[in-house]
Amino acid sequence: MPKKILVIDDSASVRRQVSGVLCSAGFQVLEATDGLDGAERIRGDADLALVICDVNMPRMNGLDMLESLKQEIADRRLSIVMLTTEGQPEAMARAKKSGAKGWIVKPFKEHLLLGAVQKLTQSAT
Amino acid sequence: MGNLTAGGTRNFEILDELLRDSCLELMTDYGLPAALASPRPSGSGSSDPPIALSVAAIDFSGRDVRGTIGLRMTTSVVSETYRVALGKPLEPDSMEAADWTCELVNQLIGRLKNKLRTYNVSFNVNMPRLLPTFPVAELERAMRNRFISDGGSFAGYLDVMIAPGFALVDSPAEVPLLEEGDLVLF
Repeated sequence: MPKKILVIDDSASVRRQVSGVLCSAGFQVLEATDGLDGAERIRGDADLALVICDVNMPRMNGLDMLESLKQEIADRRLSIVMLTTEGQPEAMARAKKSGAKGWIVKPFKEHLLLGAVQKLTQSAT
Repeated sequence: MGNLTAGGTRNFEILDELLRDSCLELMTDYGLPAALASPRPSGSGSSDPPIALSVAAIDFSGRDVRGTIGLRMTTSVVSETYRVALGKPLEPDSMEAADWTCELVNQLIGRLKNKLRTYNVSFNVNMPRLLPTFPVAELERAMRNRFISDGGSFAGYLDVMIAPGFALVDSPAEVPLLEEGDLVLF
């Protein structure tokens, strides 16, 4: 059974881009359009293997979402990788503190994204 | 830009340089290395042949700087960068084309923001927006860098207000800074 990955990004193009890479590698991909939508999907799906999340999004940004789910992320040992144009050390520290496992600066390199996803989904099993 | 002090002029020179580098690096990453276009003689724009353009803008605000950054591209640039990123053609005038145009300006301001870290400048970024009716005259007052590539032409705009007395000073980063495409696992 393919591992399930949730991609949270307000850009449909980015979601499609990430989904294309992950589906080609055999993952099942779900999508959410902002932090609120993403939090709802994370809470509603116990089978997620990993979440890829943008930072700058409408309604609720990725860091706020992460902080709101901090305990749940820890309890489920859910891996979260931030995928964003931001490279601020303060933002990265905030994400790490809330349980994120990685940070990628857009535009991403496909092999690096895939390598990180494979490593984190393997270590989670 | 009004009457500028020497320090103020230097601020704008730095921002102009960072904007230029950000534009060039963004498009190079999507397979469109470009060169600076020659400045057009004043008033020559009205005789240009009509070219399909896409424009997106994004506002930013911080303690010392605030303003708007814009990215104007021929639709061929939007299509080509999309093709490189997603490996498939882009339908012109589609929702996807609008979304990708906004994503490109989002990535442009991300680059600018990352370059400004060594100047101790930080700001929050709003959501990108498409400008369907392009206020050319309004944007032409802003600092701009125009480029030509094999895939079409593009221009980056920056309309910025800087706090009085603030000076952009480059200082070495205390920790290694991430660049576009970098990955860190915690």
